[in-house]
Amino acid sequence: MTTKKIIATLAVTILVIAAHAQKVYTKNGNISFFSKAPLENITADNNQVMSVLNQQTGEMQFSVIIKSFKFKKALMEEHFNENYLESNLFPKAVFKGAVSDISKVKFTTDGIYNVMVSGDLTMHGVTNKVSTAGTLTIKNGVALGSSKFIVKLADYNIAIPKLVKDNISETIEITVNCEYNQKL
Amino acid sequence: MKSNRKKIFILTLAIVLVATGAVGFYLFNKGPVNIKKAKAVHIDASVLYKAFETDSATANKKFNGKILQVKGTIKEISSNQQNQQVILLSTTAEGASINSTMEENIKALQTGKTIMLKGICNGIGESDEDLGLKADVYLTRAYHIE
Repeated sequence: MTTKKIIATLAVTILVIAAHAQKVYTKNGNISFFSKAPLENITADNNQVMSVLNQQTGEMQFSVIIKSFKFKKALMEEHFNENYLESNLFPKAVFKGAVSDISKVKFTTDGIYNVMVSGDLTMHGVTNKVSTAGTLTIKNGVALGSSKFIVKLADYNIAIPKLVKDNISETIEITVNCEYNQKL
Repeated sequence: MKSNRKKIFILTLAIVLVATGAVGFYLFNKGPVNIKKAKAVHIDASVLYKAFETDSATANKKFNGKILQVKGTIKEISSNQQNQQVILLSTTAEGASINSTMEENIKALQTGKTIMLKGICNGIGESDEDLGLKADVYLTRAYHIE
């Protein structure tokens, strides 16, 4: 192998390593939801969210297993999976998007950075554009992504049965908290 | 005689209504299934992962939502943002684990030890081939079985 080829191979290898070093991920991020209802508020937690963040480009991806949402009451969990999200037919919700202003985040300096995230949210077989404000908190070199936004059930073809229409809210509040503690 | 019949009818109706209400109240407030006492499918961590890796549709039908008792070697012990213990069991696929969110934190566990975890299988996550990131198979509400 000539010297030129060796240098080129090394350069490509360094570039690939550098590109990967910019990507951080978690397989145990948290997403919770809250729905206000006259009879009883509905809350559920999912601590098995997979998310990847490219610290250089701002690209962001979430994959959420619907059955990983856990409720305090078995009946709520059953209705959520069988009647509303139909998790056997649509087992995952996926978000693919980006932090639009990633350049202002200094991943080596501790602090809280306000950011905007936008992209496509696919849930219950329907994809919609989503745009929301959030924060990236940097602590000891680890990024914590947080956001809170409202989703309208009708936008994702999630129907509320007529019988319980007055007792179930037409919107849910989604809270995202993902600590990107793994590096690629 | 007629008055007695009426009394019996009203009493029966009242009992039925109270019983129906009690059953409804119980079902509405019933908590999650008792994992510790429930019957489980016994399986090795590597076999479970292989099943999802080979044919996720069939594996989903077979395991998703079911209570499993998974035997495997501890690869990593950590905590999630809710301070629940997360135990990763090794599989034959590099970078992929059985990812178990524990209902009770266990002390005196160490990596490399073979253990049995019992919990609900939620299926496999999302792999990212571009990133070379392998998906895990998830267990929730998991308990350590001695």
